[in-house]
Amino acid sequence: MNLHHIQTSAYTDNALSLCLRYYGVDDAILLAGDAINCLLDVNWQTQLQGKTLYLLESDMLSRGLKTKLENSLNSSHITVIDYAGFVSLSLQFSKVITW
Amino acid sequence: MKKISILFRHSPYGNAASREGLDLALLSASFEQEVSVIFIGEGLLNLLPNQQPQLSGVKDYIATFKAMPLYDIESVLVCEQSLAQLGIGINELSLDCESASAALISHHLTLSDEVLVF
Amino acid sequence: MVNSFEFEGKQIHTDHQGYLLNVEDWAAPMADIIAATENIELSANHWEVINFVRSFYLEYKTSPAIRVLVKAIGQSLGPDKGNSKYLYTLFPVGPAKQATKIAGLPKPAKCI
Repeated sequence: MNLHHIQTSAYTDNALSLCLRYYGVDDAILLAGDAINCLLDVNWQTQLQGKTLYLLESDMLSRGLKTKLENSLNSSHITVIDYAGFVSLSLQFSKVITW
Repeated sequence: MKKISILFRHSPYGNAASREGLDLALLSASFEQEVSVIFIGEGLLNLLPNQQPQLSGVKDYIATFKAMPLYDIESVLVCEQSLAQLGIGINELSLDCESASAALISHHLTLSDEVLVF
Repeated sequence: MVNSFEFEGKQIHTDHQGYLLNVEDWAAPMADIIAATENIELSANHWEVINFVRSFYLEYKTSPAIRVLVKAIGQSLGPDKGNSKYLYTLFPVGPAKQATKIAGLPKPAKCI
C-alpha cells in the first residue's frame, strides 16, 4: 500500500509514467504541483483510469485549473485534499514514495 | 534493520541524482540496513560499461557502483521493460544484476520499509 | 584553502587537512613524509593497509568505509587483521582517515 507522490509535469519528466508501471493494486497517486496538469489531457485521463488519485487542492487552485478539471473531479476515483489531508494520507498508507 | 529500496531513474549525466542515490545506498549499507538498488528507465545507463565520465566533466562515481557487493548490497534489480526499450541486454551491464518484470519490482516496493527515488 | 609541501623538487598541493589534491602526485616515498605529520612510523603492517586502500580507491574511485575496510582486509589478510581493533592500533586517529591520507587519497566523504 504505497502512496506515490508526483510533483513534476508528465510532459517534462517520466516520473508519472514510471510510477504507473510499478503501481500496485492497493496503491494511490497524489498529484501535486505541475503533475496536476496532465489531468487536462484525455490520453492521461485514460491512462489514469482505475487508479486511486488524490489532488493537492492549493496547487490546483493556484494554477486556475478548478473549472477545467470539473468533469474529472466528478469521477469517483479522484479526491481533492489539502495539506492536512496529505498528512493523514501519509499515515494511512504504509509509505510515501516521492518520485 | 530496515529494508531500503533505492531507485535510480535518471541518466548518470546532467544531474547528480544517481550519485546521490549511490551515496545513500553505500551509507545505508554501512549502517547495516538491507539495501536493494533498482535501475529503471534511463537510470540503467549508470550500468553501461566503458563510460568515461571525465570527458563530460563529471567525477567518476560510475566505478563506485562496482563496490556495492563489498558493502553487502546483493540485491540489484534492473527493469526488464526498460532494458528492452533501450535495447540493452542484461549481460552487457557492468554489474551482476537481475532482470525484473514490472510486477516483480512493484512487489519488491511493497515489501520495502522505505523507497527512495533518485 | 590550499596548502602544499615540497617533494623531490616538486610542489605537492594538499587541502587544509593535508590530503593530496591529485591522486597522481603520490609516490611511495611520500608516504613516510605524510605519516610523520600523523605521528606514525610506517611498518610493513601499515603498508599492507595503505596498499589496500590505494588499490581500492583506484578501482572503485572511492575510499572504503571502515566497515568495508575491515571486511575486505579480513578477506585478503586474515581475521587477525580484519578487525577494527587491529586497524586502530596501526592508525590510532582512524584507519579510514589516516590510511587514505598517507596513501595520497582524498579524505573519505563519510568517515565512519
